[in-house]
Amino acid sequence: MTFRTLIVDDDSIIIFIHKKLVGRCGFPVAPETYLNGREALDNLIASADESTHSLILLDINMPVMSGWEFLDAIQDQPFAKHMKVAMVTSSVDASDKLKAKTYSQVIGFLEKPITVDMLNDLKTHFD
Amino acid sequence: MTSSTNLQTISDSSDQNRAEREIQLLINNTAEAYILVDQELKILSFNVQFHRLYHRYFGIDIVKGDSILAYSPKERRENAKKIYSRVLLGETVVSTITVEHPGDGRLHYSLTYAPAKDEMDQVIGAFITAVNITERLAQERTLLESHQRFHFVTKATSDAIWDWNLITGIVFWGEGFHTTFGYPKDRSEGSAEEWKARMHPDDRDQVDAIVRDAIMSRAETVSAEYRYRKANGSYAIVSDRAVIVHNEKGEPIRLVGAMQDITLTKHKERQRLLLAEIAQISAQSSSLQTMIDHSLHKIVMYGGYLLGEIWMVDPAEHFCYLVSDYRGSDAAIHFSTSSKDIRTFREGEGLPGITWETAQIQILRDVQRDPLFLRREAAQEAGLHTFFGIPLMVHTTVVGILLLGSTDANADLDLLVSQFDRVGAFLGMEIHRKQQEDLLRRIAWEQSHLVRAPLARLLGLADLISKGHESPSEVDEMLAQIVSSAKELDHIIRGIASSTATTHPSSKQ
Repeated sequence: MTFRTLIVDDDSIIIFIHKKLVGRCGFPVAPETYLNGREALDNLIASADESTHSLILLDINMPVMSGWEFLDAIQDQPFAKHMKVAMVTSSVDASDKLKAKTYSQVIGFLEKPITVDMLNDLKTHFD
Repeated sequence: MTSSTNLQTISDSSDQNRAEREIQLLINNTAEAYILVDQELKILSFNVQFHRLYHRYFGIDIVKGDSILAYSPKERRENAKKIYSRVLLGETVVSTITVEHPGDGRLHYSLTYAPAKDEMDQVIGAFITAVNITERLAQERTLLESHQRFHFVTKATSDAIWDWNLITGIVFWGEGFHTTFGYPKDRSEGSAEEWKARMHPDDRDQVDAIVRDAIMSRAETVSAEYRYRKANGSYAIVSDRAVIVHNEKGEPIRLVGAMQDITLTKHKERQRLLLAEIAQISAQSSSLQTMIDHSLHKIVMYGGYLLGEIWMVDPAEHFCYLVSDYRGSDAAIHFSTSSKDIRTFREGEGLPGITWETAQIQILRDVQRDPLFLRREAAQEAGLHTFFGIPLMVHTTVVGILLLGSTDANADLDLLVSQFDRVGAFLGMEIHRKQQEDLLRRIAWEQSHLVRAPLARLLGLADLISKGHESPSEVDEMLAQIVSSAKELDHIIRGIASSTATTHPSSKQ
């Protein structure tokens, strides 16, 4: 079993902040970062399989491939089996929250900026 | 000599006398009063009624052998003389007299002066009969008045009055059939079948059943609401109330009724319900599109149309474009499919454009041939005859056009206006309100999202720095990021402020 943490966001400052926070929360490996859904997807297809366990901090609004499009694209992939996704957005919309419930991988809906407490809370899903 | 002694005299027995006695009995027992005079106007004979008449009203006992003129009041004597001279020449004269008596009031008699002739047909005198016509005159007057009243009532009322003789099957109709339904004035009666044929085919059986039930149950009145064809072919909604007239045996012999055209009232009532339904749809719809689609469906159903379309005027008012269509049949689907290339109209172009330009309800009755109707080929293929254009208004501005298509070739503009005069303004305002709501929601979301992005960065960076785990060089880098994020936020806020300033109604700019 391998464990991976992915930060997918088109805002480089947010990536910088989230990376620091993930590091402080003692996740086993350093997070990988991607600027949109397509980059993350391509990498996962190339390097992940059924045994890969992953946590993804996924922004919704991104160019090239949005968070929703990413979620639609991974559904039939083998690595989706042990994938847990936290949707991250700068402004929470009620309809987005409802939509997120239709994806089994989504374990949380976080408003930026995320905090150490939020990440620790996510960790409980991996215990 | 009194009539009683007269009777006594002829009771003497002999065959001759018996025949005379029978004649005397007969004339004494008739309702008429009679008197017979000879050529010199001397009284030969009279019956008991005549005697009573003179006695009661003139206080005179008539005596045989006297001149009849002696009994005429002085002022009438000359006139009486003239009458008798004409009668004695063979003429029959009829006149009336009016007498008064405290006990009887005013009575009218008809007097017939006829020449009395012998076996050789020679005039030998005059025979005068007097008949009390007081009651008959009163009846005639009542009848005349009642006829006049009926005539005036049918003229004065906007109701269509009818009188159906169940024995002959003939229906008489009043002027209302001309004024209300447009039928020619020259005929005022016809067969019941002809009259019934004007009822809407879908209503005829029901009305028949109601009338039959009323007659069977010996009801005194009957009423029904149904559609009745007007001379122009369109149908009016009527409220019809009738009295069932029975003969002395209790059998129904006539139906006398009044039909009231309640089309406008009905349409106003239904329109009110439609507006309430549109308001409800609008309140329940999550988006403008849903609201338009559902409202259109409701409107098409309300008028029983084949097809409905809603065209919206673009904000720059260059053209209008199709936003929703509802097709109630295969023919309507066919129309939409074969005219799918036409998706916009300019102002003044086609029915949507004309409705937009005039801001008035429009009706095109022959869309298969009318050059104004650009989609006439598609209309022909679909069998559509009439299209209505109803402007959707916000105050005095046309924001959209509601189009309705029908197979009915006899559509009436007045009726259409009565059905839709408030729909255009109501739906226009509802759409406008919904548009504003949608716009506001979108702006609110976009702006909060735009503002939140740099703000989230600022908060995140401040949080990191405050924890004090970062190296001085990293802190410097984060401070630079804070400055750039703050500048971005400032830029966004200025942008929002300037865009609201240009749309804000009280803006001085």
